[in-house]
Amino acid sequence: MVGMIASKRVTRAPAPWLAALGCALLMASPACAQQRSAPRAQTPEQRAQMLQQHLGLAGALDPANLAKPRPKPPFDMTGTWFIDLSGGFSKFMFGPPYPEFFEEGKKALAEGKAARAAGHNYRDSIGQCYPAGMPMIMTRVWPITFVQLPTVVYMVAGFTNSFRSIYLDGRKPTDPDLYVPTYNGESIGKWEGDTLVVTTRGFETDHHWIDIGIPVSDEFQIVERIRMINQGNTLEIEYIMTDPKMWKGEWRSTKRWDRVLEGDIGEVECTEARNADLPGTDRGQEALDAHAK
Amino acid sequence: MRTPNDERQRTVNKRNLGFITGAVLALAAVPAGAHHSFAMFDQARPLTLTGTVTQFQWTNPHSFIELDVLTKSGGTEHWSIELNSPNNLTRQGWKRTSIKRGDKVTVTISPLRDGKKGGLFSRIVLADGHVLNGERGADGKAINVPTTN
Repeated sequence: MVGMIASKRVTRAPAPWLAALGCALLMASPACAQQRSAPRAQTPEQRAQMLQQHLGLAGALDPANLAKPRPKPPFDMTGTWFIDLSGGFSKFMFGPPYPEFFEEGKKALAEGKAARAAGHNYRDSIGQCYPAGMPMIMTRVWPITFVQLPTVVYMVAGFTNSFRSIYLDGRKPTDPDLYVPTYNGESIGKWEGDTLVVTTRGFETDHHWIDIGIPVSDEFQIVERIRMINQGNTLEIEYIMTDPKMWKGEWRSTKRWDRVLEGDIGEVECTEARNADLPGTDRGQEALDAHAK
Repeated sequence: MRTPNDERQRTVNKRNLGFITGAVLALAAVPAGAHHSFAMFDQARPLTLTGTVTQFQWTNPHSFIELDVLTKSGGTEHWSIELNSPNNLTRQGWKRTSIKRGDKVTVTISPLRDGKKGGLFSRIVLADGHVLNGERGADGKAINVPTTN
């Protein structure tokens, strides 16, 4: 350690504040160098201030939570999966058919149609590095990985490595006055016979669209009914989406994912710098305009 | 070898049209699953460009080529071309080292509908004559790319 010398031993260390003050005034002192480089103890209070935790609720990876006796689940969805597009690329959309949209949804459909007719993007937020969010993150043309534990199913999407967790440990959704809006929402799952029923709420609404730019509100809720079929080789998820501020009743869509054996997800990041070289993105269009000048 | 690019070739690929009508025309825009919408590219009217690679990046979600194309007046035009993901490209025979800055190449793209100098990669002829496909395999079928207009 820099500055260590065989100085006379101090039987009792000065109070930290006094030592710091002394060193601020006598900066060249080797004893101060030693004092600066000595690790500071962190009190439990200081650690608690830095650490994100939910006191009173066991974490999904708390060993005691994992070890609690629970019925054996009907299936294990641990694996790498890829959206089934055998019916064509339209299958990664959630409509048509669409529910009856209220004003904002109707406007989005009309504006989207006009943009497309003019050869323009419309609400292409995913391309501009906004998170796809649920449900769209489920149907990007990249593999997704699920890791299932007794207390939680973790999902990491291949596309932009988006993360979601589906809690299975019986916890309640976060208090409505406390939840933090997120693009993938907060998912709580429970087993019903051969089906995992997942309810997701608490969505971020900024630049968060479904399909071609249908907006969602803070009342958006997704129920996923997840089954494993085809001898464990296919996941089938029925989507039941409601948003009383945006459309009437339920918006339903069923999709499938096939297991991938010879593949793994890797890093896929959307960055502003990379977008500058992609002519199909808004940033790329700006770069082309700049070049043309 | 650099050749004057005094006339761009525009050919309607009849095979592509057949695929398009059979696919998802009825839908509104189909955002590309990979990253962003491909509605801005005219996939029915390929354009061929000859020029020099100024940059090539092998990356997710899209690789890209920046190309300097010689114009009739002797100047250069700068073109941005986006490709598929490296994983898709390797299945077409690409390597990270397949092209590099300074290479003279001929590239076929689906150009931007708005007329700006950019496009979606379709195929490339390298200086040594080797051909590499991208969004479409040698059989003309799209790979990982929606083909709506």
